[in-house]
Amino acid sequence: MATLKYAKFVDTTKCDGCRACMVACKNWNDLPVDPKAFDGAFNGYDSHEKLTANTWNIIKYTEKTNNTRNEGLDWFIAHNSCFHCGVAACEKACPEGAISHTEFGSVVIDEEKCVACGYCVVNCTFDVIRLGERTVNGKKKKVSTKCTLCTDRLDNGLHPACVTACHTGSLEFGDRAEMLAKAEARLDEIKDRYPNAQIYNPEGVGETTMFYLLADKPETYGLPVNPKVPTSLKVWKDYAQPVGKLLFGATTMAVVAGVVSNQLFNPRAKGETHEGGHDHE
Amino acid sequence: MSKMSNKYNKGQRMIRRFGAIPRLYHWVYVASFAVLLVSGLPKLFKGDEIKVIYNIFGGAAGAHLVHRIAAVVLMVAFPFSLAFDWKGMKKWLRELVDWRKRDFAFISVFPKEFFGLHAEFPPQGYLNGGTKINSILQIICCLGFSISGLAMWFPTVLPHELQLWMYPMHITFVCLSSAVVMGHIYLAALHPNAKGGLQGIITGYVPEFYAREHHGAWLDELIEENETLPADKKLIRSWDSEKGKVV
Ligand code: SF4
Ligand code: SF4
Repeated sequence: MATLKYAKFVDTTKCDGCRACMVACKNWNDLPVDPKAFDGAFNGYDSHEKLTANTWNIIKYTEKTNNTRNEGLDWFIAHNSCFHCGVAACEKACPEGAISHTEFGSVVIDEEKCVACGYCVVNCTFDVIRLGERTVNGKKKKVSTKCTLCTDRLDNGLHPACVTACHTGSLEFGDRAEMLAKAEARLDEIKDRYPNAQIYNPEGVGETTMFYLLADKPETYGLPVNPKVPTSLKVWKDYAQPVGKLLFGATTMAVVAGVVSNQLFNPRAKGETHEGGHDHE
Repeated sequence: MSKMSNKYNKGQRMIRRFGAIPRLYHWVYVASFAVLLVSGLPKLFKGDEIKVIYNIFGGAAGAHLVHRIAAVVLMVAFPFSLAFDWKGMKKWLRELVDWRKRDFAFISVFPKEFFGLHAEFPPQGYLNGGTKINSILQIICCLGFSISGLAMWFPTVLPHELQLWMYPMHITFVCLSSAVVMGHIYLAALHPNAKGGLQGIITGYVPEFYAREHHGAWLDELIEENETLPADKKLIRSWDSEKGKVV
């Protein structure tokens, strides 16, 4: 588990849904547009229903009555992208060691190592990773892709592009303790207006580098209530894999022991054929 | 083959043991299993050494492709065998569910047999307790890694929660079946008591002494049945040492 020192704090109560973060992400990461005609298939406000290989963050809109105020409908808007989990299921699932944590707590993919098996896609706790085509070392190749938390910018002392673009202060990046304290203070401020407000920094995935201050329950935002590293993934990597290896070893040893003991005790191993022992017509 | 067989077959009556389709199925299974194991191994475990295997296939994408082709071969081989030799395959499957005292008696002395100590067991049927377990385990594993493998190939078909379990399931059945295969290769090809028997799955015939020792009860039934068969359908033939083949 990575020790998280930094955080990208997403204060959903300050987001006005302008989508500047989406544009900044495309811009910095050279991601092509994902053309999408209006189809009314989801709520009619979101630009895309889900993250894609070329769209690493989206703004999700939920319109809902806020029962504490008799003022009708409220908007619950959230910037959605990779959480950069402390215990990242994607990283654990990857058979190639292509996914790792950086010193910033960001979870990044090594495109050279990735073999596009998609195990990370299935195992990601938040349905974030996608397979897409990229040019790696001059060759077109399918790889897994997602938000990098602009690790290349962090390396150079800059903030993630989305954070820099945000004009309401809904997205912030900085020292983790400082960000968490800020979130707590803000939670106190909004409690009256949003009684279900909460900080979403799930322990089941070892906390996350991107964490939320939500104005309502996680369900409102389509977020899992108790996200965790899948049990099946632990069974796979912590039990099935080592036990499988052991089984290979044990069988080999048994066969070797069998060969040796036959040499010692079985008269036939010394080249005697059936003529010696058994009678048949 | 013939030179080696001569040593065991000389002066022996030759007993028909496996038909053409079951033999073909066995070897297609062997070949596809081997290719699947090698092409899948670099994904099964972590470590740079194991990733070297990708080079055999010209990279990970090549290994992927070969793995899938071999998977299809392995999976369709079974229904094909059923379709082409229903009788022969049925005989095998039937044996697997037919458990008698003699099978358990064999299993109880199996460890002795494995390590080459003197083991006494009652005459065995067409399959003995050990070969039955081998087949049964292999069938269960084959179902296990085929189903999970298909799910991994098409990861959005099953409900997500269930899909997640396909990955540990795949590795479990692969490791288990590999262990069974290793044991089987040892007992059927390398073990001193297996001498003369390996040719059964290649040519279809085994020398009588082998049939007597390993499958005595079956041999008695077969001798009886052979009496009633017309000359060209005889299950018991003889060995021509000159030509080095069954005649
Ligand atoms: S949200 Fe998904 S992709 Fe991002 S770090 Fe967590 S498991 Fe990996
Ligand atoms: S798709 Fe790439 S990053 Fe994802 S698990 Fe497979 S090799 Fe790892």
